[in-house]
Amino acid sequence: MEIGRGLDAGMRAVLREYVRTLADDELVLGHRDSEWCAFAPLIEEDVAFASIAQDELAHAQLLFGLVEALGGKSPDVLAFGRGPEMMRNAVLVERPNGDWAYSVARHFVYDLADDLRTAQWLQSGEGAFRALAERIRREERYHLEHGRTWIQALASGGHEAAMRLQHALDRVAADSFDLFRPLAWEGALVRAGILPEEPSHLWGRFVTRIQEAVRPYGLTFTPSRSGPSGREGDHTPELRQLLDTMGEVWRSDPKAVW
Amino acid sequence: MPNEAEVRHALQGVHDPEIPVLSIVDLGIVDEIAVCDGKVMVGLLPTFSGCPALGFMAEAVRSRVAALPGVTEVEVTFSLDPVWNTSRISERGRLALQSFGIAPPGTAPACPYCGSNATRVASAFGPTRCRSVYYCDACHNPFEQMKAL
Repeated sequence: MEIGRGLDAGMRAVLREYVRTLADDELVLGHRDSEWCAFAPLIEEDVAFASIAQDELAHAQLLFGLVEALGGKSPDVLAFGRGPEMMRNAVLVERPNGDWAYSVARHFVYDLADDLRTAQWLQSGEGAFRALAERIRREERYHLEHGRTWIQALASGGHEAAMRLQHALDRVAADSFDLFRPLAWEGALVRAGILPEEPSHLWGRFVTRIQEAVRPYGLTFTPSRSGPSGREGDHTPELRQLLDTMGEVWRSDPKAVW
Repeated sequence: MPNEAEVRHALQGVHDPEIPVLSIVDLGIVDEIAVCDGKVMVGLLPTFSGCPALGFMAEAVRSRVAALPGVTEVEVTFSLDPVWNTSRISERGRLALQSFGIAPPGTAPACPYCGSNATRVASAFGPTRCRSVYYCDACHNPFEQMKAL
């Protein structure tokens, strides 16, 4: 896909950094989603989480393709060849799956964040982002619907289910600022016409949307602005384990053709 | 050397490997075809971004077109411009889906087995990226619908 025509080397580097943060989110969460296959509480959910994983990994692949087109490494090297210190994903997506309520709450919150981010692409001066938004947003509709269904099911599923869901939302809230953390290069993307506004400016709208979605069930979402900064390479030990597992086959022979 | 229409006609013989009754032309993924001095360029529009069948379809296009008389080179490219969506499936394609037991994309599918409208979604996520699972309350059969995208 063509991207970055007419941009100077510095701006292409900024754009690579931006796309890589989003791709890393999709890659790491996609891997976590895949871990539910054969362990979910219902067989339909084994299939659902496996399908969602397939979508997120495909979106990561498309985004890594853009990084490569901007002069970065190949998608496989980007996905499998980096250590945790090189990863820019939000800490939220690397947390272990925990219980079902945590996985549901995390995905729902992440999907709403992703919805706000990809909506920005519809107004991008880069045609590649507009095309990606159109493809990705049609697929993500099904994720959002899946999340809403489960939030409702757990919230109205009796005391323990509702309690676990609230506990999960609290844990997700504590990590969620990373998704919209202000980053040094954001302004350049806006000035170049690539984004209509800095992604960090979406934070307030993001919090309001989650709160409005969970309030009807008597649930709360109270985010903090602290927490580790995955966006700046500050990760938990669990990310290293995830990357070790995910890249194990690739590392056994990086030049192999599959 | 084949012309564009002949290439398109030949591609009627390339099918979606997961829905073998549906040709890629009727699926609506064949976009531009250009023929120039024995070289044929075929532009395909990817369907669901996580669909593992895309590579197989590209390979099948390559070998099908390469077998046409006068063709010396085949180039297959994928593009997101325009972005494929399920409204690109032809009427013949929708009938092919129906005959295969998959309800075509759209709202509230009728059961492809008994025609009843007493159907409900069992899971939005089916055996492939593009299909949802439904249940027919009239004939008690599960069936699939291609997701609207």
